[in-house]
Amino acid sequence: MLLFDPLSVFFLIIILTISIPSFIYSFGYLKGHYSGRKILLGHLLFALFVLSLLLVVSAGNIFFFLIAWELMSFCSYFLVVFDSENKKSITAGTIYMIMSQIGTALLIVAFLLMYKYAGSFDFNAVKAALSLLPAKHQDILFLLLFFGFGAKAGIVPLHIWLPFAHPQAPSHISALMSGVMIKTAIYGMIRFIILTLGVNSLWWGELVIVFACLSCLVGIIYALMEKDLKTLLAYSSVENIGIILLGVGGSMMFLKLGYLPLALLAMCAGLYHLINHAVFKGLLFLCAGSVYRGTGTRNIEKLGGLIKKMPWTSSYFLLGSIAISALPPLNGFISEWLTLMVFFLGALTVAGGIKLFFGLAAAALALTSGLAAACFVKAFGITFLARPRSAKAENAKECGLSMNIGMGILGVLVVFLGLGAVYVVKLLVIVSGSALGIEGGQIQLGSNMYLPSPFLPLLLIFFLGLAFVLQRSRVSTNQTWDCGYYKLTPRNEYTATAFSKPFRRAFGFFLRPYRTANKSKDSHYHIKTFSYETHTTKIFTKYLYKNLLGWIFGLARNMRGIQTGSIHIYLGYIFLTLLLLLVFMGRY
Amino acid sequence: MELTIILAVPLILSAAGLFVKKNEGLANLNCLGYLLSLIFSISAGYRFLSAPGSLSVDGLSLFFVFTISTVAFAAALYSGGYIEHEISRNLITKEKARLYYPLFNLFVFAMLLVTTVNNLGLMWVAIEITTLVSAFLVGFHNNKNSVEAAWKYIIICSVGITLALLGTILFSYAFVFSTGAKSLNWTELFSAASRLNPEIVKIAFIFIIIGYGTKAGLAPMHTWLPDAHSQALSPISALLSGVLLKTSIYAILRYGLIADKCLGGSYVSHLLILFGMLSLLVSAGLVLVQKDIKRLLAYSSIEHIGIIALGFGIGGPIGTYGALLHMFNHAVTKSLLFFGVGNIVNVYGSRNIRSIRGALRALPFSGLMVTAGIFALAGFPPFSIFFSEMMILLAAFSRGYAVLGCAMLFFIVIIFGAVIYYFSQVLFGEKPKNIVPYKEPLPGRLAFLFLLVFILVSGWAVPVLLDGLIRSVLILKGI
Amino acid sequence: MENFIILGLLLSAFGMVFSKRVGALIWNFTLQSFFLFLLTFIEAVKGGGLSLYLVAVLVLILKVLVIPRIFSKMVVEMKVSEDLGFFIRPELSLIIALLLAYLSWVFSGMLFLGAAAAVAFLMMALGFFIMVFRAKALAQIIGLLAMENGIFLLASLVSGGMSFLVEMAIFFDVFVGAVILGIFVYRINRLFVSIDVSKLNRLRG
Repeated sequence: MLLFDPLSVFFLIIILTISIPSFIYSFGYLKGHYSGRKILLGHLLFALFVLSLLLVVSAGNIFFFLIAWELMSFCSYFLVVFDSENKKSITAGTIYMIMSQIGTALLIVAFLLMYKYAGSFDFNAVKAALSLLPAKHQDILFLLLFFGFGAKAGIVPLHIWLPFAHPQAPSHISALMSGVMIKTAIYGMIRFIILTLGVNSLWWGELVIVFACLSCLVGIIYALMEKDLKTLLAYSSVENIGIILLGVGGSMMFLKLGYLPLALLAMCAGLYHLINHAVFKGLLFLCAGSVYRGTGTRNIEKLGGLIKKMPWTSSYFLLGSIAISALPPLNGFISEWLTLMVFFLGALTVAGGIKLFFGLAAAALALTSGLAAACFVKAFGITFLARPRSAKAENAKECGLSMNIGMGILGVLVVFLGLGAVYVVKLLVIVSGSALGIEGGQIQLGSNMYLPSPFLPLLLIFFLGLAFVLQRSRVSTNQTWDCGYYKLTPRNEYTATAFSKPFRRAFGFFLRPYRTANKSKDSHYHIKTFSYETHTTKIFTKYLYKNLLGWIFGLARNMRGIQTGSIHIYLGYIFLTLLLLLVFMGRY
Repeated sequence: MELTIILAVPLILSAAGLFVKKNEGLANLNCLGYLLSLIFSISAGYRFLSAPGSLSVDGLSLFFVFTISTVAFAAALYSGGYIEHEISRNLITKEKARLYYPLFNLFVFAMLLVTTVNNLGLMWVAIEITTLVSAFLVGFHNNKNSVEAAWKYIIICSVGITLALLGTILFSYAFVFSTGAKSLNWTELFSAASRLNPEIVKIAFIFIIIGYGTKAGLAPMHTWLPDAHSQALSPISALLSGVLLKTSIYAILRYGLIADKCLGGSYVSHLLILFGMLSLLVSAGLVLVQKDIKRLLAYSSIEHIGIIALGFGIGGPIGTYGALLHMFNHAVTKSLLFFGVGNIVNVYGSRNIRSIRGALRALPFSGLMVTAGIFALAGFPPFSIFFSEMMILLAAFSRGYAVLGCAMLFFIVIIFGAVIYYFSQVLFGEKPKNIVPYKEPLPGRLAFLFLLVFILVSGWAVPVLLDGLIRSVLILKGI
Repeated sequence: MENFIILGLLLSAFGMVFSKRVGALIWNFTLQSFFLFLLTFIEAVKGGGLSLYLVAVLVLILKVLVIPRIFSKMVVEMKVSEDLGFFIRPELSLIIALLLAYLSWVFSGMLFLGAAAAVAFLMMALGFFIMVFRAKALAQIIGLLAMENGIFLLASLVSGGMSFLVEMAIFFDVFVGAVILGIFVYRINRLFVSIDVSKLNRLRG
């Protein structure tokens, strides 16, 4: 029933690593905001959710996997609609559930096809049967699995549920959903595509990388535009899933091309980023939740100056931001650096047009990291620095002990995963070997070659010392120069919208920004109020999903015509059916 | 012996309506009676499993008897509280409520009769009786909508059933034509099936599938179904959707067994698949645009009848097993939902989806049950429908109907989306201020829990009785 | 003799299609039922035994006497207009009826049956036709009964009637059905102030 190979164990560890701090955090987070029974329900659902996650990654056959997978969607749905009185939560839950079910339907088709070929749901039996299949059938299976899991992972353009569901769930759940749940889709891809189906065409890897790049860029550009803290983090999850998939896709390509060490390294990079993202995104979501509890809003335009009111939360958020922006020496840097390295090595090693492909992928990744840094400068700067922009931010309160502990554990892990990279990679080689179905021992990685050596902690100590010394130098406090205006208020501060303006201009072709101005007038000459808004167009929602929904509902509305209400027409249906069947019966 | 008691119980109960004056007394009597009936149906089932020859009926019949007894027991438990609530809301008078119980019992009796008689002519008569009795239950409120629904129900189903009578006669003609003897006995027809004239059987089966298919709610003959289900009293909606539709499927199956044996090949399968697919298509389209919560459930019944027909059409041991199991699973799940929605509708005084909000707050117990039921209906594990649907899909894929399986999944996902969309609004959200929270009476709660046990269990581990009966049907089919 | 009766059945079926008023429809139906009674009676005389006599008498009582009487009374009591409410013009009705006659003939051939069975199928088809294309509730009931008449004829043709018990049960069912439908016609008339069932279109979609 259950399966515990290194790959499963790796995911089990990640799940527990994130869920334990989240659970500790949840005590402080839920207390006082919900009734006692509801909190109990929350804990119960949380436990069930974690259990289902654990079952997903340790399921020993395909059918059991499917059940665990559905259970996971089931539990997480109720956690998304935990604030069940809130209309937004209901919408978010519905969108989440539908997207998740579309993905699952694709998976069911794939699993049933596997059963059809193998006559069994056992991984090994399926693997043996699939290797005999013609290429076309394998391609179909690959596409079904990739998009089926992709819907859960949130690859663009199947990402639309993330920015709805993550912000609406309670923060410890967001941490778990974003940090762990979407990673189970990566587990599924590795388990089913690489291990069970086997990589049989080069274009599979290429497709994965193309979608990965798309997810990276789209995710981070949307994140940059966002002013809801948790939605921003949700979009950033789309980006990070892209980075993870870059590693996985690269690994698939190298595997097919026959460069086993590179494949192993790419998988290492992907899995490293996977655990890193789990940790720092978990941390960031917990921080966002703490900000929300402390101030009552998630809109960063209304925040500011929290570093003074919530010192702990802001230092954790800073830590997470540095990590997610891939700045050394924290963990995000290591995994993104490894990924970049893999693509450069690939471009150097492989011959032909694929060189260019790897080069482009590396460029996309580099651009993404740059944008991510900008995004989190914004997120941290606007939220925590300067002066409070609203009364809510003014009256912010630091979170309690249990929330601090939850964040603290993850904060320590962020640092550890950055500084202890050498040891982590050694373990990851084993996991990656298991993920690629090759013995880890066969291939020796000169891992030190690619990695910052352990003198990094020393470097860190050096910089900390430097900072300490510098801080002791003279500090003088003066008023901000305000051109003689003397009445600087928080309204004069730099806003998130203003911060992201250059990017909105630069990516205007994709974001399609538009402005709306609303004047309400007393008379023709006197304007009472004036509101001015900038929006960006969510092109996938607008052009893909809206059209699709419109089409389906249009069809359904037309089908209402069947049920006219006239009994005569109803009887006519029966008569017509009878006649048609009797006439066409001759075919048999 | 058991069967006699099972059939006698509802008759005695409906006669009791003449003597017992109090509604509560009738309700309690009903609960006891159907408990007895359920116990005897279980014991009959076990006796059949241990010694198949000792009963006059076969496993297929017993399977349906058990299903009907289960749902009827739950409906009897639920009815008392529901009728009281209707009376307290002045929807029906006390005097009229006394009529409810005898009609209810006659209805159940007719359904039990359908599944236990061996004579195909009498089976037809019994099915017609179900229509005639339940027409009053559909038109019980006696207002414009319910009378319209009842009229459509009775006329369309009567036409359907008249066609089925023609089919019955053609089957008997085929028997006369080939053997010279005169019979409407299923057992005799079945044993002579391979000698029947295939041309006649083909035509006869068309009449049967259209005729009984009308009563079963297969599209495009389903048109009466949403009206009747939405207008009937909720316990009756549960019986209609949960078991009445299935008794017609039972009739189709009986003839299908003969036709299959006679024609071999895929004639019956293809007809079932055709109607199953049409039903899925129609329900998928119409579920999306519903405003009435009970109508929504009615269309979902069409969907599930379609799935059942597909399961039988795809056939094979897994497909047939899945279809039979699905029949039971859908019966208990949909009954639970109609009970829950019945309570919700009674508390809110409206069936309009837009005007019901925050049902989980207003009716914590029913709301919770509906939540579970919705996910069960949508085919989520750990609920039982997931397993039967997977069986049918599995059969579809492994028997070379992969495209069909994909289409089926497509429709299921669409319906799932619609159901979640509508029901999440109904269940969650803020409770309107003027709604007074409702506490269900104990028997009503027991009805839910009783059904919930089956919903939770019968997927993971099919109860021994069901499993044995289904297997005996497989043997009957020769697979 | 039988052939004449069957011709009579055929003609009365066509007569029902052409009836423009409820009274004419009921009368044609009565006529049809009467021919059916004659046919059964002749069969019985030819040697069908007691049960066939009983069936014949039942046909006479129920379908020739009781049911038409009830319907006629209903028409008078409810004071509804006599008009049946055509959805299509009479000429088109004729063309469709002829087409159905042809199809019944073909169909009867497919089943290795003769002209008499073709008439039975046609009676069914025309009954159905009336149900689909006539607006009044009473027309639908009579159409349904006409369909059952067709089935009755067919049953006696192809299998020499069904077993006595089944035949009785079916009779009982048909009778109860007609009565219940009659009750609902009353209710419709009271609630909708008309028995035009094409006005029953509140439930749709």
